Amino acid sequence: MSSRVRIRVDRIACDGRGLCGEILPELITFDDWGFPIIKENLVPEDLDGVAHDAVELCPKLALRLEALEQECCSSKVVRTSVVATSWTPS
Amino acid sequence: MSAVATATTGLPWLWLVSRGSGLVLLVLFTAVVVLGVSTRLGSAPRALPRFAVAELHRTLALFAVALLVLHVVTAILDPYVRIGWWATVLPFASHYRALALGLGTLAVDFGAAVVLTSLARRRLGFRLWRAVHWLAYLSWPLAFAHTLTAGGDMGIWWVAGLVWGSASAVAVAVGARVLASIRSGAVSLSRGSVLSKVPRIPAGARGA
Amino acid sequence: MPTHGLVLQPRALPREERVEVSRLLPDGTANCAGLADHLVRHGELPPSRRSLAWRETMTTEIEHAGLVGHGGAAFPTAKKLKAVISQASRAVVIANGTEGEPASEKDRTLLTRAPHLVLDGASVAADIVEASEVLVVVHRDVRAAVDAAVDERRSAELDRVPLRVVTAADRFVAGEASAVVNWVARARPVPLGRPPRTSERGLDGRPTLVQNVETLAHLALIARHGAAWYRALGTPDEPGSMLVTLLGALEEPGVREIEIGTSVAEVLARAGGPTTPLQALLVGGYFGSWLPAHPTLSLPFSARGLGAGLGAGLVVAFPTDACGVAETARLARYLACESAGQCGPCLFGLPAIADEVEKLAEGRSNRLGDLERWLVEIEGRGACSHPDGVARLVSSALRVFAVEVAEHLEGWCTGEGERHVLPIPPGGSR
Repeated sequence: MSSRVRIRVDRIACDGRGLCGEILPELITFDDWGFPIIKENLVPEDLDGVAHDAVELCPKLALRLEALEQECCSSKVVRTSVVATSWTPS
Repeated sequence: MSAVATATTGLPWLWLVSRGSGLVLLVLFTAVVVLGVSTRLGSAPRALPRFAVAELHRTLALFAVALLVLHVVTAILDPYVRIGWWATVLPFASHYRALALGLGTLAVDFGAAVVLTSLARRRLGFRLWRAVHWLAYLSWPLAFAHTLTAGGDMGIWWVAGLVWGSASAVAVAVGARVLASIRSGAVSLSRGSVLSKVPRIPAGARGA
Repeated sequence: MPTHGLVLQPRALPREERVEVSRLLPDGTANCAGLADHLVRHGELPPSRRSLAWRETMTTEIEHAGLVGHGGAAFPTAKKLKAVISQASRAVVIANGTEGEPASEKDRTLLTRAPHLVLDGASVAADIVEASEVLVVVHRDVRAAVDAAVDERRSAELDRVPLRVVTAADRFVAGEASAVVNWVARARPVPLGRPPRTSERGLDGRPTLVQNVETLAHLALIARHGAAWYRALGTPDEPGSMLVTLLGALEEPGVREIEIGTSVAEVLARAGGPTTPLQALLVGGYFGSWLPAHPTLSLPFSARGLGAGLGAGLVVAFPTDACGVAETARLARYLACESAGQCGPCLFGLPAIADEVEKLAEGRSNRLGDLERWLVEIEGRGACSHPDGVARLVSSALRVFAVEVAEHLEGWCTGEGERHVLPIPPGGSR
């Protein structure tokens, strides 16, 4: 059982500022207009710290990390809880 | 203590450090503002990735806070002028040169609000953080006015150069920011928010 | 045999005897708008009980019936009910009759000809989730009819929970669940973005059950006759009947009720059949898929049979003499303009896609590769599923009209580009 995180972007808050893809090019790339394409949202363990940096640095606070709890062999997500977020419900 | 310092070297160290740190602070604060605007505009030089600009903006801001503490403490400890501790947060409360110092205190008050909300911004949410961050545009001119009135070394050519250079840098940055928001307002009007009539496919689509 | 207090009256007729399906809609052109007529036709709704056992029984029955949403996403209704029930606070039910899809008319037809079935369903749903309020959001064309029905029910003191009617916003994306909530709460008919789901935090932060009006009508019938009756029609995977809006090159276009799994040709026959040979069908809605006439006409009308979602039940019969590329260009432009404009991929990507499809229609396309890439890239990157719908529409067009696309790339068109098959509201429908 591993405790991994998924990175997600709030598409309405996101303004295409581009910092996330610079910090995490392994997971995030950009479309023709500068908006992020998350190639892979499951964060590898060695990039965990970098992912937290990206969440912290996003100028629009549009990124968040969700923990997957109890991801079992059938890769069925049982519960997700928010680990780090800059997004707050309005 | 400072009397001892002066006596041993003949130089008023506290006073010198206070004024010197003040000048460096102005330059630092200018850099922070320019970097902050540049993160917003995405106009950083290609050599420097955007996240580096953002990180530099934060690092310099925090460094400036540390230097500010030095600037304020040395000014208060300096025995040649009487500035009470309360003047650090209450503007225009000191007896000595109330206006000049008051401007500095106000700049610090606003700046502190910006820094504190930035440190807690994930908990406060974007909107509140952003609203308070606008105070930075108030804080810098106050710090600049404080430099001009409380500083006084403008006769030295390189001091004047640094001071007016800083002013130009901020003026350019703010100007660019204003222009950018006018332009982006125009873009969003021409894009998705306005319904355009469905265009008719011209007859040229038919036949070769 | 009644096992849980529900009286089950299976009324399935043997296959050979079935001609017209009339579960939701009364036969022919009759209306069942009045409460008295409604009660004669369907009988009274079994009384709801305020017990956990009753709520669980009902939810299980709906689950066994296999009822899914009829607003476009086909989400299992029982799952949604359970999600709302599991929240602690006071729930709200929203009956969604916005019908933002301009070519679809099924919701308006249902609300005009059988409003009490919808309102019965809303009432039962409110009892199942223990809601304190029901909002009925309807297209402005049918506001008066629904008001009249609600007044009748109020006089008869039929519903435990008050029903409040609201006129829907007139926008394509306004029918999306969170957009409806946003419209009611803040008069802004735009989606709110994914987390949290409306079933957890919707209107005023309360768990909100948003269901399409047709889904609620089916629910009202399941409450009366049970899951087995519901499953007597349709296919094992997609049971029941559904409303479809039949448009295009047909003799008698309009809204019909059909059994899911009927052959597509038979479905079109219900609208009098095609007036001219067809080249393709648009199924689902403007956010749906183009399908080639052959072999689709001989396939069963179901998501599994067609390999495409049935969406909002729109079926457009597209004739051979029209130009599919031109039509898709008009649709893409309309959909791009109808974007809520809240997220970058939609705000920038959709106009770019529309630009390129228009250029393709005009015979001067030069970025087909980019277009195909944009269609792939935009999927799942909007704040709602609007861009996904556009991608589905345009991708399916490029596939189905591949020959025509090739012709257009050469600069010529064999169809009549001026011939507009699909209705698109003029700019300013807001």
